[in-house]
Amino acid sequence: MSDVTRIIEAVAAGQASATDDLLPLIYEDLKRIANLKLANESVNHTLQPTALVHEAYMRLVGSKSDTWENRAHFFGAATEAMRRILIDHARRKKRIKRGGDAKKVYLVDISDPEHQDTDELLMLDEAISELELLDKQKAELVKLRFFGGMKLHDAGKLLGISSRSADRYWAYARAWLQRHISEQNQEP
Amino acid sequence: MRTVDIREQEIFLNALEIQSAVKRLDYIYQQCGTNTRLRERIETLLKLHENDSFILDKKVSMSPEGDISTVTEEVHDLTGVTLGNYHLVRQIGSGGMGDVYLAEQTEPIRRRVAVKVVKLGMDTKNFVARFNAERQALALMDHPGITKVYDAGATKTGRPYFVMELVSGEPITVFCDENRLDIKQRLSVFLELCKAIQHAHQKGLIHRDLKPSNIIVTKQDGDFISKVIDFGVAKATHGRKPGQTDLTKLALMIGTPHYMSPEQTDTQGNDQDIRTDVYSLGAILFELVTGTTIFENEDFGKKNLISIREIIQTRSVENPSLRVSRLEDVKPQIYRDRKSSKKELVARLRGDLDAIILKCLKKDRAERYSTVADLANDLRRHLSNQTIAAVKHNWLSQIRSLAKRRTKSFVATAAIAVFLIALSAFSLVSAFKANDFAEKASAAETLANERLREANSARVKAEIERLKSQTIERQYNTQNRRFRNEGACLRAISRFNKLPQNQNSARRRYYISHWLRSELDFRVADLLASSTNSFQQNGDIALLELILDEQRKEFGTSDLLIAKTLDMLGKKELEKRDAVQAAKYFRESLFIRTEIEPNGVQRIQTMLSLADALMRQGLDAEAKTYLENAKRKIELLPNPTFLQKRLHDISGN
Repeated sequence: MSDVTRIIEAVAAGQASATDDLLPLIYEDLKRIANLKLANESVNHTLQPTALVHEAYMRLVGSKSDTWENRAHFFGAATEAMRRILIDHARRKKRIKRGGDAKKVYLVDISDPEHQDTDELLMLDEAISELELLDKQKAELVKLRFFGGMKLHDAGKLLGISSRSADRYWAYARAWLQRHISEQNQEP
Repeated sequence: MRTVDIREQEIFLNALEIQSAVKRLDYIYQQCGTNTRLRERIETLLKLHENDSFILDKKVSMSPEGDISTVTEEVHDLTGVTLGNYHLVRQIGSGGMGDVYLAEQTEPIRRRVAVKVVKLGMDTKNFVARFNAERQALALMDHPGITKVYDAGATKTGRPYFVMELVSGEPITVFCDENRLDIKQRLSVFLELCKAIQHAHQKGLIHRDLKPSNIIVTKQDGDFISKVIDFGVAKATHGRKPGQTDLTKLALMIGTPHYMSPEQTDTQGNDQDIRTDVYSLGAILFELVTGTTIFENEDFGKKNLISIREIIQTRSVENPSLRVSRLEDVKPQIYRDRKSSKKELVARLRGDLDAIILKCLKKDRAERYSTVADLANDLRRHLSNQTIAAVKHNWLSQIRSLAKRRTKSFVATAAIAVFLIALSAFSLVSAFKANDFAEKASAAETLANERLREANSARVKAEIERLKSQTIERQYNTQNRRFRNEGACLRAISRFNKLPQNQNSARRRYYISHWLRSELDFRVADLLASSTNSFQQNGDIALLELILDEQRKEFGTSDLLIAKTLDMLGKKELEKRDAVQAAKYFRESLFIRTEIEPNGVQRIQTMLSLADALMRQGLDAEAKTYLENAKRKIELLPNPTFLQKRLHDISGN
């Protein structure tokens, strides 16, 4: 049994905390695979974080202890790990390009469409953090889906909300995040 | 503690559920009252809700250079969304290729349909054009075993979707296991499937992605009904770029290569025909009888494309019976599902079924059954214990199947033979009286004649089958050429599509349908015509009549192909100097042509032929009306020399 599986079962039994015990393990592992993949693959290769999470799950937990609870705890922790990796990756890129001024993150550089995706991603992450302060559940739902690659209803189930509520929360959070980002951009 | 604005959230979410824009606005005004700021903020939210290029809906990826890129992909499901005339009610399935929704169509008729929204792949740009090119061929398919594809389009973000007949049931393999069908029942379900595929092949369509999940089976009044889904979808979805193989695309979009033929994994990959479907059918049949896929234990998901291709192209498939005998007893449900024991199942598969299935799965398609009809015929022969074609020149197996078929009479015959041989040692001739001989001889003659007639009609039938398969093959060669010219054709179609929507749309439709029909159907007619020319005088008419029958079954009453055959029949009858019969054929042909191509040159020809036949019967008055009519038409033609000469010949008589 791998460490991850052991901890997951401990989490399920209420003996451990997913964030404290599971996150570092999964984070290290995801980062290792991501770097390995990005280093080895051809130039045009890109890595999809959500696919990576699923792959890590299959490797670390596998089909043997594939229960709903295990899956939920794993994805909960892996989502946060993946978010950190992705955002680090984006920030590093921006530091190289813009001389390390993290505050310039909000300035959408229209003349530079190549990095628009990076900017958008960082803005989205900021907006999600903002939402988290106001409504933790909705932010969590968005993260599980966007960074963890979970299906919306599965993410809802993990958070203990019904499919209908998940749909509604998603719709509101999605519109709210967009409005928040556009408001941030309008401020001088 | 700060929270999101609960009131704002509530009004926003309730408003979302109001379909009518006017009522929605009313609701917001009513709820917000004088709070203008709240109302404006909610209106902003509603507007942003419609935005479909938000990064949250995309898939993000990282590159080694550190760049972040996004691919538009509607990760949120489309339940509740309206695409064209179709309101998506709920998701009913999801696969490698996309998600399937139950949808309600409102216009022009109210019905429930299935909408398949295809994943955004590499080459979906030309999807609608490609689908339109396929649509004519799809419309020609009318078979209860094939789900109809009604419509297609693209979502705002460019994901293509198909609208299909709604079918319920289980994938063929699941259905057979759940209902515990024995081998014989499984074969009969499979034979129904073959009929449907055959129909499509006759219309010039290859499925190219046959697999259990594309074959849905249900039980209806005790009968098993199978439905093939996604016909034409594979082709429309997978436009070709030079050097791109199905493998790369399928690996990305469809997933399991267990049913993919070796030629589909070829780098050239352009050259596929009906035998590609024969291969997939073989792989499905293998699974139906053994409960395992052809490359068992081969986890394709973990392999790269090169090694997947190598497996498909080089690894030989073992005999189904050997597979079952090798299966460990950890899978007893395979036997239970087939109402059989391991020993029985191995014996059942050994021989015929081994040979039939492996013939489908030959790497070299020249060694496979050349049509699905051949495959089905062999299975039927197997079911009635006749010698199958897949086992050729094996006299032992022929005797074995003969013995199986007629166990009782076989034993009796053998016994009589032995007895006769013994008896012949004695003087035997005297045992028969002279008149017995005469009687027997006459009976034998009658029998012989009857056999001869049977043999003759069988010969003609066989000839028809041969012609049909040849035709289909030719048709495919034609289609293959067409595939190669696809780029040019698509460009042509897109030019037509660029014509103003309201103007010329009839003309545009005509163009496209004409192009497709000329490519597909007229080739068949030509081929049938040229093949029949090689026949003897009398055989000719018999064969043409048979062809006419086939065509009527195939195309209904009004079809240019039928008119063409009728014309040929009329010509033959005229040569035989049976003007009455000839006139009958020409009249029917003219009727069809008047309906379908009132201004066609061929119609004038038929008109002249009819006049000719009428005049030979002395019906000059009626002939004259046709001649005059033809004359008027000929005068309008740009290049009428040939027809004018004919008109002159007939009028002169």
